[in-house]
Amino acid sequence: MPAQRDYIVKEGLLVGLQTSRETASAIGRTSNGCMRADGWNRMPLIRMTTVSLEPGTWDFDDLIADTEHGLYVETNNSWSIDDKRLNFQFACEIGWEIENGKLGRMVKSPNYTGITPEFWSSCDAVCSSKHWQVHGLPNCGKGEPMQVAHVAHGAAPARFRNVQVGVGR
Amino acid sequence: MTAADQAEVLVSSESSALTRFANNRINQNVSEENTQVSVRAVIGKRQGVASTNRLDDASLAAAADAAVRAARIAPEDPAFPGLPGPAPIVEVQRAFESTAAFDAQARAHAVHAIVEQSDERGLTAAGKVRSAVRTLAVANSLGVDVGQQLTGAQATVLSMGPESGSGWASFLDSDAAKLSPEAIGSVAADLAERSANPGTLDPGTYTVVLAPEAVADIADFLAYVGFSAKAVAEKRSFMSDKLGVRVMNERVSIVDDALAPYAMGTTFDYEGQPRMRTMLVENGVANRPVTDSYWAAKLSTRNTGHALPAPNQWGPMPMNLEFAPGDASIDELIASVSNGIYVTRFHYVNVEDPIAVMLTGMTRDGTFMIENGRLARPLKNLRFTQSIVEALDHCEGVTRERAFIGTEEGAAYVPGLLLGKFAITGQTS
Repeated sequence: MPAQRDYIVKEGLLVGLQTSRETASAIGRTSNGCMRADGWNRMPLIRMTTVSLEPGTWDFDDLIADTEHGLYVETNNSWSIDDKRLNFQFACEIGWEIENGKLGRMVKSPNYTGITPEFWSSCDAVCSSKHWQVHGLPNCGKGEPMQVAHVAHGAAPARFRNVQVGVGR
Repeated sequence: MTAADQAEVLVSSESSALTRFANNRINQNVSEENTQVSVRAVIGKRQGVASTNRLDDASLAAAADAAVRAARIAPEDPAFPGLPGPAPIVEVQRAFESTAAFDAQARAHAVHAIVEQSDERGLTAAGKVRSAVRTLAVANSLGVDVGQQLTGAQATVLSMGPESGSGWASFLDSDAAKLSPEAIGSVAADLAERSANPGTLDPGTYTVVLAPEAVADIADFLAYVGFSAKAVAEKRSFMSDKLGVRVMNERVSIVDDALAPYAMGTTFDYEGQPRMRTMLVENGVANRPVTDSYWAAKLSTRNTGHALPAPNQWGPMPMNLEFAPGDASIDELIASVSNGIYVTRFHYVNVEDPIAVMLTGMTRDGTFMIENGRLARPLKNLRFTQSIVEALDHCEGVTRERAFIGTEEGAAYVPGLLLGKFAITGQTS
């Protein structure tokens, strides 16, 4: 199947899934081209290609200025999520406290945790295409036997409210 | 090969088959045969590596040539001591005809026996049955010339019930004849039934009893971040500047022993050097990390024989971890807990701080409250965020019985553990 652009979530509604020829029919669609194998000796699996958060409208400096109290975090370095993809916890290399709309004290290894639909429901701002970038990950693992895929995610900075941070810190 | 000063060749040949099942039926059956040849060329202090799986003369020559060309443009590493010479290797029989003969029919029968245990109880099972025959050989221009054939059989089963219960069991051994598919199918199905209708638990610090499957993950991550001479030298390990210092409870002793009777791998490392029994932590005291020829030379210490294949950015790695046994049964550990949690296994564990070995992950497939010394209500899967060094510092019990458990990275021979302080920081919804 050719590479395609297809919505999984559109304006907050779940409208699609990653599919294969075999599974697309179960939701009345044709495959959106997500079957990938990592080599000659592996059967394809449905998995991510490039899954992106579409840009919003905010300028990054305006978003920070608009935030009274919070934490800005950059550069993921640890990831963990449960088998239903609900409870997750991610850690980052670096962060800065936000107080009264200004970046302040630098923090080391900030982390944050949440429950997937609650977390994404708390997103109230996404920065614009000026701040949007594709980030690659070379070591997405899936399958038995294991298959390692290069995946990518396009994103701009985004704000999420009421997130638990600093777990075990 | 006259274009280089030294050369090393690794040949890894594998014939494996895997039968996958889900929803109580086989949904995938794959097998493969592959032989990977990897050539390391050394020119002065420069190294280049190239590999191929084509075994004709022209392809092998091309791989050797590519390794030489890579070496020519590689940066010099002044600390590179050159390739190691030959050393005596202990030979152990680790290839079993029963595993080599474990064909598609055998795998299908095993799956049937596993699935039946779930199916007849109204549960659905998923998992795999895998068998492999592997040969690893290492030779170099200094006279290293070693090889070993290995066989391995592995089975896993995840049993799921209608009321959110789930259970897990696994098997790993060189000898497929030791697999009892009914037994592992039954253990998983039992756990799935007993963990139906799981409830909630507030975050907090709890006493936990970890089954060997959970302890195996802990062993895996200690190996990954803490036991390499490279990590210790680079001050990235909990053992850095702590050799000879008590870092964990005295009940904890951890050794790497490739010659142990349960071990399944080669008795030599990827440079063809003998894998030496290495005491990593002894009665809670950090003893020494593992080395390879490079790090042994750099640190002026002996080579413990734990090299990974070149090119290697990870440094040496232990692959045969064993926790020393204690003197209790798992039931005795549980009986000693008035309020705590029993964990069958962990899921999606990752590292937040490699020095403290601060890990986060979820429990999975059989998590229960322990109340007044007995397993009580099942729990929805919990998230933990805990420094493993700290957790092992609060080890209050170790089981006599140990199990050989396959992990993401390899396998470990581990007991059950009672840990007095374990931070539960969240729960799935």
